[in-house]
Amino acid sequence: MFPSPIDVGAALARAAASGELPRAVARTGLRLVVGYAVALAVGVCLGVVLARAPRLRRAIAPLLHGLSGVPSVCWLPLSVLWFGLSEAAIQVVVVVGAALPIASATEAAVRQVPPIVDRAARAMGARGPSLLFRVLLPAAMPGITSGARLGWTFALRSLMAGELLFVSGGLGQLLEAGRDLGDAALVLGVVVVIVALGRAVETTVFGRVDRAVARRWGTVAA
Amino acid sequence: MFAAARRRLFPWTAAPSRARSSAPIPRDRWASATVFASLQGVSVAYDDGRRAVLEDLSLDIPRGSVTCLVGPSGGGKSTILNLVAGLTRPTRGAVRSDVAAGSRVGVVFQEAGLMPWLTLLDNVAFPLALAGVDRTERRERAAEMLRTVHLLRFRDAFPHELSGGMQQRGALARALVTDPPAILFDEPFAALDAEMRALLQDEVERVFLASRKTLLFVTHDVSEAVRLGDRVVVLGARPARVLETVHVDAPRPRAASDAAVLRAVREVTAHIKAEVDKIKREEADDGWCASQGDAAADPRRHLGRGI
Ligand SMILES: Nc1ncnc2c1ncn2[C@@H]1O[C@H](COP(=O)(O)OP(=O)(O)OP(=O)(O)O)[C@@H](O)[C@H]1O
Ligand SMILES: [Mg+2]
Repeated sequence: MFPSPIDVGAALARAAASGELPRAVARTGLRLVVGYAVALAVGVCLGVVLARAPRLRRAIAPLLHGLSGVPSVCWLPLSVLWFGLSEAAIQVVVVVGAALPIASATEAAVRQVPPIVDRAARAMGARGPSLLFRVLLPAAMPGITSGARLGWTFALRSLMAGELLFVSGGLGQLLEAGRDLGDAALVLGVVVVIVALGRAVETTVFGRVDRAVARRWGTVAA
Repeated sequence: MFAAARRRLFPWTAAPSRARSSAPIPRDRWASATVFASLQGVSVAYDDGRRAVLEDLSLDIPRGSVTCLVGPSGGGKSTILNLVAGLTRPTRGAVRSDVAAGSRVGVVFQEAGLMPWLTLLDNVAFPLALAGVDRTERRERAAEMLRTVHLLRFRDAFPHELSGGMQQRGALARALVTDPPAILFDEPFAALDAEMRALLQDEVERVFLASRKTLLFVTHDVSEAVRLGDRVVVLGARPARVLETVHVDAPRPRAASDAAVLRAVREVTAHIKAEVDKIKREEADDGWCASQGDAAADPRRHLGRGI
């Protein structure tokens, strides 16, 4: 029942040749990119608002903490009720899963902006949007990028869980197909592809971002 | 509704009515020909009023001249500077100033406070960027300022690649670059060697002579205060109060050997020494010195750093 690496390679080659694997990768990749982009925007905005509005933070932070303990795939049934069996339904899961860690990292980063930076900026007349975009967000950038990295892994996990339950293409469905066929080699092969996909983005995108941030902000590179 | 939300999120976007005091001053009512900033019966307390830093302090900063503040470490000098800059609100009393009325001011803080993600050149150009000056012009002006503080070679370095003194000089350049009518300095040269300090003191005096700005200069160094100041305000500690104001009537540019300068140094030093002696006596009475030995065990309790 445990396939050899050669079996796994062969199964992947078959899936690639039939066009099933490339289609699944493309579908999953697109969902990830869209869901993650939305989650990044939502998470950063929510984080900034929480950081700068203490009363709102006190009101909703316990709720958010509670929610972030819930695996985001738990939202799938509700979002299917709302959006039907559509892309939107599965995106909700990705966005909820990734936005919360990004929001809490952003909140912490904005609250930890050194007071001297904030004071110096205000003394120079930075107010409102210019304070936010020219000072607070750049100052919080190291924390925001590590939150973004965490959010990426959450997005991938949420999407896989969603695709397993909600059969409509993508790598999750290919996993299901492998199980239905009793094809352990294919199942393992798809897992390998998922790991490779996650790692590839981690090292190329986030690795580069981390190094750039470390160079500019003088933080220690990962 | 949007405005209300914005006020809540970014309270400082509202009109700068920072002096939230018993008698709030509308921003357009402040206009004085001779006084740049006026603290009237100002108190500042931290920890919900349990620790008074300033109590009932009154102080005028005259326009178009150099006022130096000297006083013990932890005595409240930076607090006074932040009040004048409109960055701290008094718990009681009124702060009126050109800054509260909307005038620009340059501030050199005790910690340099450069933006870590910007190169030195972009840091110096930052206030110009906020003012909407176009990129080529602001880079030219920033480079010019960097030349003045002898840091042009480091224009592309990030702050964390610079020494503390270099960062301070960068902060000085940043405060000067917009040519504001008033500049506040909080011990800007404390981390510099004697030669560089003398060079930059000359530069500050040159800037002052060129445009008769209002300068407020906090320092521990009596000779620096007398070198630069038209008036030297000597502060006492706990709670901070004005012990004495010494006028320095030496011609500019000044020489350290000028008789009036030497006389003022002696006078200021005598006032400070009297205050130090008083604090020592009080601490001896508290039994603090006896139990703690050296005053260095708690520098906040003692006049420190060069006085
Ligand atoms: N944010 C703060 N919270 C609590 N206490 C503060 C705060 N800022 C300053 N203080 C206290 O206020 C007092 C005056 O501080 P301040 O920085 O104004 O002194 P200073 O005269 O500038 O001292 P130094 O010469 O060492 O810079 C100190 O005793 C300090 O402990
Ligand atoms: Mg200070």
